Amino acid sequence: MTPRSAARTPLSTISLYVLLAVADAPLHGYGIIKDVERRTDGVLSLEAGTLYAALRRLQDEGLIREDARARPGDDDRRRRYYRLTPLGLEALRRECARLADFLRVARDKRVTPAPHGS
Amino acid sequence: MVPSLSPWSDRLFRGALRLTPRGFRDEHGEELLETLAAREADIRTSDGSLWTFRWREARAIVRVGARLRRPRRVFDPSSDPGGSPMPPAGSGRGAWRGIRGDMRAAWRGLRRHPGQALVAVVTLMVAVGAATAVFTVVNAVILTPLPYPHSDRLALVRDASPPRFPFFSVSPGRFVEWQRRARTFDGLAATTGASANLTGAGEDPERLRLAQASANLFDVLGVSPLRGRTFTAEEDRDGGPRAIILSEGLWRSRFGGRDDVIGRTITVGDLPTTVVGVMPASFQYPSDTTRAWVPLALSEEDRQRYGSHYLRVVGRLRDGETVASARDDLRHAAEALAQEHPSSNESWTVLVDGLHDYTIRDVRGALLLLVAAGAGVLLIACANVAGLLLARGADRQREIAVRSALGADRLRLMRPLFFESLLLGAAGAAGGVLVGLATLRALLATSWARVPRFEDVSLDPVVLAFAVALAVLTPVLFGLLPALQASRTSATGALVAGGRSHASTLRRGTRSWLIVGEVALAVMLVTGSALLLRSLDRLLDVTPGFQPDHVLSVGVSLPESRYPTPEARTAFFRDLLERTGRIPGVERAAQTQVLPFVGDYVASLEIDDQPTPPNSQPPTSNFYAVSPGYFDALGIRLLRGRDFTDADRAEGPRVAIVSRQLAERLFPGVDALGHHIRVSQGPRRDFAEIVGVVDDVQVYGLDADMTLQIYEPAAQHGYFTLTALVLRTATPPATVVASVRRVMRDLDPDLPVDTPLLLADEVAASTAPRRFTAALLGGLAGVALLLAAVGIYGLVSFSVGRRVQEFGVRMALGAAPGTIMRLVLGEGLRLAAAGVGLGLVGALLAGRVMQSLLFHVSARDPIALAGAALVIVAAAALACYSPARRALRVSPVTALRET
Repeated sequence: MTPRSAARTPLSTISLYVLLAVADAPLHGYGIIKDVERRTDGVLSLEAGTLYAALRRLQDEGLIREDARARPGDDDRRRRYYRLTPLGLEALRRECARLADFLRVARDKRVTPAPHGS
Repeated sequence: MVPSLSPWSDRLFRGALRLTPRGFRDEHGEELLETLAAREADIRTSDGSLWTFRWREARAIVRVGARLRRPRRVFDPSSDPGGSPMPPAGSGRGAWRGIRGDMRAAWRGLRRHPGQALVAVVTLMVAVGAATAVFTVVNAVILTPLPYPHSDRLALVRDASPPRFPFFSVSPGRFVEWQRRARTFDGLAATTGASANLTGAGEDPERLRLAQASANLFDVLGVSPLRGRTFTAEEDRDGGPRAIILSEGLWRSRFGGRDDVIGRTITVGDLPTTVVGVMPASFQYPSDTTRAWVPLALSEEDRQRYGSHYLRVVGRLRDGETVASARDDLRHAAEALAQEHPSSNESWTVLVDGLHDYTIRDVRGALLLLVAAGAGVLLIACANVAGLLLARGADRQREIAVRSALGADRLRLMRPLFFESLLLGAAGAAGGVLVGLATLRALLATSWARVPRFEDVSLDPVVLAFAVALAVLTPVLFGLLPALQASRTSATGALVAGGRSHASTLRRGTRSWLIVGEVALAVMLVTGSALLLRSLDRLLDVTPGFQPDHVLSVGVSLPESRYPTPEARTAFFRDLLERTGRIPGVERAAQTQVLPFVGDYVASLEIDDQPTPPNSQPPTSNFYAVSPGYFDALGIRLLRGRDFTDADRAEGPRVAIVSRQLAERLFPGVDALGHHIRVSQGPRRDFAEIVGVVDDVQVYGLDADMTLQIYEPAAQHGYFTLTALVLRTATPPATVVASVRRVMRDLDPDLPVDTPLLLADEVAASTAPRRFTAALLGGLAGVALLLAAVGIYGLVSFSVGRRVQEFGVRMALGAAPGTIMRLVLGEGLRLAAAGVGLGLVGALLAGRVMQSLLFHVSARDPIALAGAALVIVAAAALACYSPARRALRVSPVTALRET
């Protein structure tokens, strides 16, 4: 699968949350799970197995990569940190734009209320 | 610092990881475990359920493993169930390649649903194994002929005088008459048990279990000696030359298997006896403990004795005669004899039974029950596998319909399905053989020693072939059925219905019926085993009338040559009792000529002031010649009067102690104490005064009818040469055996010490067949229950899978979880209820057959029936629980998207 085609495909919910989790700073697996949990108020709680399968897929597709420098010296040696690649950032942006479009249509049709203050 | 995983989790997750592809495991395994450790620490601090966490995470890893293993290909011709490309017709090699391709496709097909395949294989394995083991035992015990040539023509002849003696041994007088009068037998032979001391030859003395046999025994049974010859008519005459035939076991152990033993003179019962032959090890008549045979040598006096019954008579039917015609023949002879000698033959008749039928009489019912149970389990398993494969077929239906509409050859569509089923069946059958072998070994290791012919059991090829054929054919048949059906369905129908076509509904109907049948069979099995358990419970509640624990018994046989007088024998026993009584750990030492559960001695009774009216039989009773302290040693309660004392000597006034029932039966309404009674046997003809009443004792087993007992002082019955030393010990009985041997060697170095027996073992052995049957049927019922539950689980979860959409819509429309739960549970429980109803009817119908195996429990025992029904319903509810939970977790959105 080529990176280009990957970037064009709509992302799965899990991929989207994982990409968002590592968007601002490199995180290890446990950190990603906690981040996703926190941001979804505990609704989405990833199993470790599911997470690493997703990480592997996203790595294969070139959307994230391992960041060896991000590991603090005193951290567990088994821990690996992941960060977004430029392609990953691009895919994330496109996906968000797609979702924004989606949301706009929904608002126009009054399926969902407009955010406060607009 | 990252916390480490708990050992449980670590083992579980590492196990799950092993199911993931290697690449993934190497790359992310350690990292994953580290993350899980951190998660586990979170769960611990937040008081979450550790097991829910473990289950969720392990399941996720397994699922990821399965997903990663699945090849990500858009179209993979080799993995689709349509099978490999069809080779050109007529090409042999091509056909072989096609089959190999099909096998590979089948393997892949099975691996796509490993859970289903595993359930099917394990189900077949357990059922084939259990059924094979049970059928093998039954086959060996019931169907295999006895090890004698033309053994179907051997018949056992017994005397009977109903209703007092429904069956009895034959008296020598009557045996001689049968030999003379019978027209339907080629020969009639008699044996009786005996024992004698084998001494000399520079070895320890040995107590031999012997059979006294008429000279023609070996001819009648049709077995030739291994060495030497059998008895001559001369040797079988009273006062004839003393001869002995050794068993192969005795010959090898005592005489080193040397040929020159034939013709040698050995000392048996202190008398010189010539060894004339050796019988092969396979010859075990009348019992497998028989170590040697000596001539019966009836005296002229014996030949006139009609009233003393102690012979076991076997005959060989003449060509063309049957057991029935022989029965008529001997009955006529018995009637004629009763007219000629009415005093001792009136009211006596004769019984003739096939020797084989007689040998297995006690276990036949139980074993046939086990056969039925084994067949039931096999049927349940087949129904389960059939149901599973029907469901698989339904999954494939759409695809098969489309392919067949597109013009695919029907045969070609079937082939992968056929091979899948074949693989399942073969795996199940192979596993079943292993399970069967293991079960059989386990069964043989149990001490079911009292079951006749149990030593003959080995895995039977015919039985095995049958079970294997069934295991292979069932999946093939039910695997192909849906495919056949689907290939006739129209493609549009299948596509439009989205797999929920009319045909699949029909199949669910079929499956439902399979489940109902399964449950019904399981109910019958569980009811049967509940009944057996309840009757076993009742049986173990029966008190034998004595306390068998801590009672040790050693047989002692005093040779008449060295202990010729009753006084000499009594003196020996006085010393023996005194010295063994002093052994540390021995609480009480006593003597009896026979022990309950071990043997019996039956005598008729006469009461002094109540002469037996003419034309009526005198009452009979078990007779015991015992020393003082016997009741203490056995723990028999003295109810009234006194125990025997050392003052009750041979020359003193004769005294007797009777059992409670004897006192009540023969002295109704009056006190038995002080009355006078005498037993018909024995040289002492004077009446004995009843000085005590003791509790009743079960003589023939816990489940036997109660008999009457009378006890007299051994000192007044010194004519018994064969008696038993009975010791009640404070320590485990085995600890005093060595001391007992030493005491006996001190008293008489030439006296052999018989193998000591523990009374508790004898009592336990008497219930062994019942315990064994209950355990076996219980095991089969457990398997049946489990398989039925698996069947219900399979059907309900299949149906939940089919109804995801429905549940989603219902929930979207506001159905409460309780409603969904009820829907799912209702489906499973309705089937279970139907099965339970059918099964209870079946159990009631089978009750008549069951009744003969039960002890003081009705085959319609409501507790057993209700208990079985309850267990099944509970198992069904449990089986529905997980599918119901899954139905509750259906999210309306997912459900709708899946359409």
